[in-house]
Amino acid sequence: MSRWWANAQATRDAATLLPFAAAALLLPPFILVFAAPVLIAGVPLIVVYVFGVWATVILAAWLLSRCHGREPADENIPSKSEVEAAEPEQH
Amino acid sequence: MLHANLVVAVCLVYVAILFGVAFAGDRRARKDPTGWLSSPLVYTLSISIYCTSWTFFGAVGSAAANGMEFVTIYLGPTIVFAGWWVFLRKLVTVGRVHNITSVADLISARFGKNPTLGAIVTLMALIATAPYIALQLKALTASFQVITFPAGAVVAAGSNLAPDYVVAFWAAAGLCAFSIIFGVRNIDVNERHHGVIAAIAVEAIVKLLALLAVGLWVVVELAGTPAEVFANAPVSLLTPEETFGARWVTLCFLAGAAVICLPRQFQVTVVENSSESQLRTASWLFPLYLFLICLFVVPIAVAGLNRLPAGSDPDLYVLTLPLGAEQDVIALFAFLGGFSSATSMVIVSSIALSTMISNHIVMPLALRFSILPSASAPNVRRFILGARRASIVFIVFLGFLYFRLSGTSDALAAIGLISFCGVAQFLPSLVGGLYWRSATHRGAIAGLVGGFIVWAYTLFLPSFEGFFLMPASVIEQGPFGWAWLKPYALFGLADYDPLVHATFWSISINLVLFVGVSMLSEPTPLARLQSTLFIDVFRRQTESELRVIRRTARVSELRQIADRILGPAEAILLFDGKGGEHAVIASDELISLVEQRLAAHVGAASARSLVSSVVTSETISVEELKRLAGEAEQIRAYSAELERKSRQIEATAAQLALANQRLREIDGQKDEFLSQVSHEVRTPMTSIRSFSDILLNNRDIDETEKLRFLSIIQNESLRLTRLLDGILDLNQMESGDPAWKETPFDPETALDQAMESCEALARAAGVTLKRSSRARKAWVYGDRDRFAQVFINLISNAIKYNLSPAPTVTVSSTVRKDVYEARVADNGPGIPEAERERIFVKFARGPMPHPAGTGLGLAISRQIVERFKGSLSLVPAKPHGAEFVVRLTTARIDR
Repeated sequence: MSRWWANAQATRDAATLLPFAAAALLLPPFILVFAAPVLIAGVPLIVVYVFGVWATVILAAWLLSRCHGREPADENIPSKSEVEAAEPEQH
Repeated sequence: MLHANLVVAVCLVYVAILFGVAFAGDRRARKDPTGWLSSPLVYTLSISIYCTSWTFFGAVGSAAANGMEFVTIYLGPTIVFAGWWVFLRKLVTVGRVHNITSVADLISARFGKNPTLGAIVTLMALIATAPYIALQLKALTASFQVITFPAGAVVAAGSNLAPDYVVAFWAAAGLCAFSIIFGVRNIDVNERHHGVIAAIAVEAIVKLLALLAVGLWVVVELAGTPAEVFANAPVSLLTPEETFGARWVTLCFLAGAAVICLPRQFQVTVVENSSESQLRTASWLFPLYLFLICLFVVPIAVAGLNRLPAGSDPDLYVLTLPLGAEQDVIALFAFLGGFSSATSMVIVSSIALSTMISNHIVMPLALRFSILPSASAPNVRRFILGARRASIVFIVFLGFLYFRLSGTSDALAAIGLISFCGVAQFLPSLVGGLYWRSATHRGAIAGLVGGFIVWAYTLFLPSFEGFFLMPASVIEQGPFGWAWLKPYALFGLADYDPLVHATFWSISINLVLFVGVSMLSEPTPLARLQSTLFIDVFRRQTESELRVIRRTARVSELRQIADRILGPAEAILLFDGKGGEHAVIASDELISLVEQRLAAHVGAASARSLVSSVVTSETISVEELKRLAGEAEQIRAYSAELERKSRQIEATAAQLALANQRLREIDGQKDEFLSQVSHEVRTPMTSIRSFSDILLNNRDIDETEKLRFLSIIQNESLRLTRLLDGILDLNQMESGDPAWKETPFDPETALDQAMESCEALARAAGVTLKRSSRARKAWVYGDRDRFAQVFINLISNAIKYNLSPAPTVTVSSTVRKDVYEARVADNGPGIPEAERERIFVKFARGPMPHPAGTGLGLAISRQIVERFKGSLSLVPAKPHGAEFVVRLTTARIDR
């Protein structure tokens, strides 16, 4: 139980951190480090960097969405109970 | 070149297929609303209407001109969606829980269902979207012209073609027809536009595949290795430092804001959302879609720069590259991709905006000036649908008008960014509304209007280059020649790109006004309630509203409204299911329910005005509101209180259990006592009765015998009397009745008296009665005679129960630390461990062969001693004999 909770908390923390990390990596001044006229196997470094970071962010978002999917969505509990409470009225 | 007829035919076939998909989607959704049409994949694909023809054609154009800058338009949304947990989740949940119909509805509902705010946001959205729709028309027209140009596409792209407004007009008309047919068939926004969404999803796949096809063809056929792809890349790509300045940050910010604030994005992301799992999937799938869209943009741009003659329009490389290489199939596919992206954007935008216009401008005006047809339900619904259809035509042709006015000069990207900056003005009110409790509707109005005016002045009006409202001289020199008011260099801020400049000023002024005016003004009670409901959306659901707003309305009038707007079928469901058919006055619950349903149709503000028109009295309980606002704190206090109470209850329960246990014991003792008393009384009674029987029946008994029998009867009667006296005494003492005198006396005198009384008994039993140590000057409070009784009882017991061959009873007394102690010890058999406490219980006797006393002596003695706050106990663990000790606190008396 406590381990599950710790994992869920870690997922939430990571989900909160992700956009800020992505923004920091993709905005100046950090991005200027890679804005050098360098080619990697014929591809400009900046192209490799931007698309690399982008792909990493997508991968991280995918992993996090899987973690979120596993944990019971606690926020949905009230709405669920609401649905159950509303059901008898229809009969 | 492709023949115009062929292209038109392909387009018509494609549109026919889309119609088919939309029809099938609508039919399927009616049968199974939770089917694959609500799947996360379809949801994500519908969000990808973010990629319009501006993306499809303009991204390559932007990459050719400015290098990596084009990715900012996709990085902003990537950050927003990957970070859905931070903001988007809350926005979407609010939209879902509160049946929000548009961005204008959300802002107006949050700030107290304010109709003015809804109208302002709608107008702003309308004006800001016009350039964007113009951009789609421009892209459609230009791509059609290029692909059908008789002299070949390359020549067409190179020569500056005048836009063909006839093509643009027919495109606009076709888009209106499609939007009206599928977007405005019913007026319930919350039934969601399944048919349209299905068609949009197909278009999303087509445009992605088309761009990927062109990209793969360019990489495989025209280039080969990555090095060849990037050979002769433009300078901006190879020395990119210039790219990452203020413009890069501004573009990322605007794109991130636009993906939330654009009416069509709000429509597909928030309004069409039906579960959190959809958003969870979109959080990575939508960025992935954007990533794939952008993957081949740079190679296509580089190839276009290398292979097409200088001066070709880079915005059309996606078309002109395959056309130039005689790849007509790929070119046609690319044209369809562009067609898809343009049409899907216009369709969803016009649907979203038409809902906003009908809910926030037409409905409030119709209500205000009572032009709503009141005759029957179908009329009202027809009126609303008519308003929405007219709005769609109006919106699309407003775009057409902008296209006509702004002419040909702008690149696609520039037009799109004007729209982005315009809708970004919603961001402060949207974010502030969801997180800041003190934000007020005045603040929101001030911020929105201020930001919008600055945007119009510094970006929108100058974009017409002097053709509309703002003459060219003002753009060049400022109004009346005031240089500090130059639209592109406000207050002398001249060194920035116009977009950065406009974004900076408009968002800054928006923020300052929003925060400043909010802090200076008070929210209305309703706004306070709404802010709590929106900000704490994860903590509470809508029913809280019921306890705060108290309203009265007649059921018949309420029903009339529901009939008119919702239609009779839904009205019957709404009213007859609630069991209140016969009530005259509607309950708060019913009023709120009707308002909620109305809000889903006509927006929160209009629904409120509609309901308010029949509500006779409305009070918002300030107390409830305060309580609600502080509820988080209260829940904490409440749970602490609960915990404390439950601990208390636990303790009480334990006490009760203990008391119950004692009661059982006492009850048992009482039963035992009663049976013992009957037994004790019965023995002497039996002997009295039998001897008196003998005396009555046998007249010839001699005198001595008679006397003996009589003395037995007398003795037994005396014993009976003593027994009853004892029980009486005990009973009195237990109920604390007798008012005994409490006087100071020397306990030694009582002890001496007791010894004297017992001397005869001791002598008769052959017991040696000894007196050892003796207390001096001890005074205690109490009744001397009673204490004598206690001591007599103890000494006589010691004599009676002493079965030793040389029986001795030793009496001693001491005073130690203010405690007087009197001990009576014998050398008899002692008292077994198990009996030690029992002997103090009524009718318990020591182990003796024959009953020697009433069995009440020790019980009475203990009661007496305890009554005077002393103690009577058995000294524990004596090897031989028993030793009783009486302890009394001495009195301090100076004599």
